[in-house]
Amino acid sequence: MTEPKKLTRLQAIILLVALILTLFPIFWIVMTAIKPPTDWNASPAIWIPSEPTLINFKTLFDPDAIRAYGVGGVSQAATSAVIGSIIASVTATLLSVSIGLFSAIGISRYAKNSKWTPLVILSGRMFIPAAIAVPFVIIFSNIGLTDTYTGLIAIYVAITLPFSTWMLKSFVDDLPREIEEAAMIDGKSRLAAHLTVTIPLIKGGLFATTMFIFILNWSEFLFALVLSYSNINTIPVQLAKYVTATAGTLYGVQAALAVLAMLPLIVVGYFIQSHLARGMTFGAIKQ
Amino acid sequence: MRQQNQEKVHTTLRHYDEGKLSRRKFLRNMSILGVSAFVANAVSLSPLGATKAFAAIHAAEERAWELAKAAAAKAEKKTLTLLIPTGSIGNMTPYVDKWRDELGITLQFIEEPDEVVHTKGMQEAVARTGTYDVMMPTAMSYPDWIDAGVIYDLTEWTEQYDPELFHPEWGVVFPASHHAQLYNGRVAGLLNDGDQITLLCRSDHLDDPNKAKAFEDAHGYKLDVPHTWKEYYNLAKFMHNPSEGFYGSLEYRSPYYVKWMFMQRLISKGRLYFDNELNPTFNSDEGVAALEDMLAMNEFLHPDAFSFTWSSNYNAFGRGEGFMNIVWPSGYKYSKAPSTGPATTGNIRATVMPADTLADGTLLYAGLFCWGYGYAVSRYSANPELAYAYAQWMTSPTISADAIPYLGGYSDPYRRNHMLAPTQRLIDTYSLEYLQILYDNMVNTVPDFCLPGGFEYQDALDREVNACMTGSKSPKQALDDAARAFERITRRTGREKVLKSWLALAKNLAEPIRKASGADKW
Amino acid sequence: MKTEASSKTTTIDQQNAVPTPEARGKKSGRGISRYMTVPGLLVSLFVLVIPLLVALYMSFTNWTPTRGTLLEANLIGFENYSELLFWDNRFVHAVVRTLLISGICLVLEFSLGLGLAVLFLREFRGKSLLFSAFLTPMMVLPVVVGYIFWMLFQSNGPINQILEIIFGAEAAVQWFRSPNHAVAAVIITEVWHWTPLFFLILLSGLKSIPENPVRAAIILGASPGQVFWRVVMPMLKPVIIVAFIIRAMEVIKLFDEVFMLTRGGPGSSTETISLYIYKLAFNDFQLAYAAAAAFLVLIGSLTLIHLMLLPVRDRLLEGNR
Repeated sequence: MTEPKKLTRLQAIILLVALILTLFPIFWIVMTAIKPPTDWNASPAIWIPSEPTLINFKTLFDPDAIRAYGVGGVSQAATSAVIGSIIASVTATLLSVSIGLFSAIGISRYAKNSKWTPLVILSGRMFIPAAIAVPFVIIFSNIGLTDTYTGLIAIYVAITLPFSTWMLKSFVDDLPREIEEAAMIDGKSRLAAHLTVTIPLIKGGLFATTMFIFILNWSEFLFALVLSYSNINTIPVQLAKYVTATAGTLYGVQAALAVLAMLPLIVVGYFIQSHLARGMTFGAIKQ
Repeated sequence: MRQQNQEKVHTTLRHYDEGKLSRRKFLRNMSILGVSAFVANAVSLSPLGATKAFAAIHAAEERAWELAKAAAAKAEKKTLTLLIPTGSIGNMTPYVDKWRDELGITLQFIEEPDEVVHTKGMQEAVARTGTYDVMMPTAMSYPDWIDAGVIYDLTEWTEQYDPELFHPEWGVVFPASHHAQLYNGRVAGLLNDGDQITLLCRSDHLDDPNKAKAFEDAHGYKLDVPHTWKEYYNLAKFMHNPSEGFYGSLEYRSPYYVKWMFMQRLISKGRLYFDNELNPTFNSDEGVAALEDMLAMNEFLHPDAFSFTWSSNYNAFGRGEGFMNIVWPSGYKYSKAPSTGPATTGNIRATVMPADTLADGTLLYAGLFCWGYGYAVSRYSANPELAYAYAQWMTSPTISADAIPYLGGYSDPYRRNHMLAPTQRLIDTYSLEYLQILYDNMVNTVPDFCLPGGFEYQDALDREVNACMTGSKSPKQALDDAARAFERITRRTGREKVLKSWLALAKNLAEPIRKASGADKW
Repeated sequence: MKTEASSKTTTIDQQNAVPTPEARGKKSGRGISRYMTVPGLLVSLFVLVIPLLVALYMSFTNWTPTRGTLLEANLIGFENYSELLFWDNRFVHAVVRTLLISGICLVLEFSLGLGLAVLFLREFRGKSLLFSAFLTPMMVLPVVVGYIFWMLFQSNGPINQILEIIFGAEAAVQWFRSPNHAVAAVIITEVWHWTPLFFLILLSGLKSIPENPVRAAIILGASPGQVFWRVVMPMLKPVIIVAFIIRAMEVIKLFDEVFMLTRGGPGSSTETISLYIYKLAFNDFQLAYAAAAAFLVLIGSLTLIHLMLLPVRDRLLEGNR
């Protein structure tokens, strides 16, 4: 476009309002996380607690801590949820990216004529989770995968594979084939050429993809909800346990877990923000 | 500590039987040792001798303990896993050490939100993971869980080890003994939570002479707790003072809860949910009138009524934000305790749910038994006998009386001895008057939809009542829509099956309700 | 359309795929590499075909766990389907509602995202920091977003406080009490969460627009509005389409936020298709019936998305080369 213009005053104000609207909800959850129980659901709502506290965070890992404030109802520590989230997300991410990497190279380099391979993989993303959850519960029950990390991870890999494949494919596409071919001329097999040439060259993209898939896995809720009994637990499931239709809500404790849950994602997201558009659009848009 | 106490009790009993103690002294000693006045009194007069009579009321507990010892010794898996609703753990944790130390059994609790417990049970029917040994659903889950084969029919165990469910002195209060434990006449679970709703009023406002006079002048009768729904309405209107943040009543209008407010009013009018052919009966004049009563009350409700959960409701009442409240017995506990009821402690007068006037002019007192958790034994448990022993032990007349008063749980009285012959701790937690009210209300209770597909029925009703309360449907339309949904659920679930279970349910209700609804002639 | 598209790919491939003689000679190496997509395909088939077949079989039975195992259940033909389509208002309403909510969200997110992206074409201080700030909502877990807005929309929550300050005490709204307000709450939540994605995609689209046509239009005396609508927008069209499709694919799945906000209430006024199927399957355990609903929805959404993909499929497949 033409040389960039400065913001007018009105535009600056609009931008400021948009910024406030964007950040206010995050401000609110952080404030709630440091409110003592008396401030949780005060009427009118308290914006900034006069006596900020870390009791909510402490309660996450020591459920009895909150009893000092006369609040009951927490008896399960969130520790298992945090560990579970890490196990499921990290494993599933690594698997999804590894399989996706092979698919990406395969599609980009050898399957140009076949349109259905990438589309079949993409279709995995079009499925409404609530709809496939029903048959999955039945299938998993019959093969003993309910309430196991193996089962949960298998699903996570399957539903994130479209993203990892397509995002990585776009990075491989960016790479001129001649580079690999040069390596092959040097006598390397195709596979070796990919392993030693292609992959190192898309290192940055690989990292961004890994982080992106991690965000997706870490956020997943529905499958974890229907497949967890006692052996497995994840943060989103634990979060929903604190608010129930029937019992009260442990606002502060729940907010503390929410903050813990979103903190890594915001950090990760910040690092890969230049690749986010590519990830979200299956590589259709590159920055 | 407990062991020691028991030894002292036995010594006291022996001394009394040997004539070393006067009756008065005996009663006092027993009371010091934590034995209820009822038990002490009964055994002191027993022709069998006090020691033997005392053993009788303990018998259910002891039989369960013997079974538990035998089953624990045999068990390969030394853990007993319990699926329980969030917030109920406080009544169970005090016994964890005893089970570990004396039986070598570790109790592991898995908490799920109340509305998820049924889901997890049904999922277990499909997944058969064997994760749970004991499961704690509400009475509404039993039909589906039994049909899905996820829990045992307990009847044979109860015949062998007798948990004394129907004992005339310390059995579970009728008809809850039947509608909250049986499915088609077979024992499906052991009740451990007497959930019914009762009405609380602020006595400080009732006793205010200025208000008493003004009220009597306006209405022509004395200011008192309401005895009828009409009086309830009058009181709410009279006491409603929103400018001071003081509202007429705090009853629920929130999703999940609002159906109960409707069901209670419907049965007060002498209507059950179905007739003897399983046609819905709530889309009738009585049903419409019940919804219209509720709409009229909306004006005098707490502004948060549409989002209340039990805990936010208890807290609002405890802060002094209303004159009346419709609560589960745990709500009384909350309002009584200074920490949770700063404005209500010492200022509560309770009553059974108000009556309604029937066509023939008589008053019908009806109560609603809603929620009501109980212990069931998973079919996929590795140690079903141990699981059953736990259930019987926890719900035995003696242990249950000990467990209910603990804080951090919401288990409420359900056996006759809890209410009519309470221990001192029960009296301290509730009060003699309130325990009597609980009994008077419970004998007239009608249960939830404890039928196959019960949750579906109740959800459908809840959605439509909610739609009516939020103004998107007229009462008649909402109830007709609910009735249509009911027909579909019945058709899908199987008419024969539901009907059989409905007739079994309706057979065991209080006589006045059976008469008013016509169920006595079915 | 289809033939045209496929012939286009072929020509491109022929151009690209002229291999060096050396590479062509390495048949053996190519053998292994050809199977590189196999694991990915297997995993995808595992999520696509097997669940579809199971759902399809289930949908023709009357199975619920209270009737024994799946294999013991009776086959009842199309009864579940006819019930869903002709009897079950909730299902039809949920479908319509989901499409409606999706449509409104997409339009709002697009408009806001575009407006924001246009502002970002200007020069100002702290731009890169602001850029990161505006992307933040996207990083937050959907469950957390639902919980945050559930708190914000409480009757004593900050949104009502602000409304009261600006418009007076009467302006406070019981958000979860009336169907319209509850739907509005869901839409606001969703718009907050995903406007950043439109902003991000549109901004990168705007940045990649070549300068020459824009300059030419300005020299020819076009007003800024004309430049924007006549020159910039047409060039942005492919990006807009991609953004819409990507978001459409996700927004019709809407579950987590609604689960936390309203659980579909009041009544069933915010029940999305996901939530309805979830409730059928995991509250009522009408598994066969839920499977029929799931199957209809799967087929419907697959068709819908593939149709939407048609215009940009090749762009996606070619990876923009």
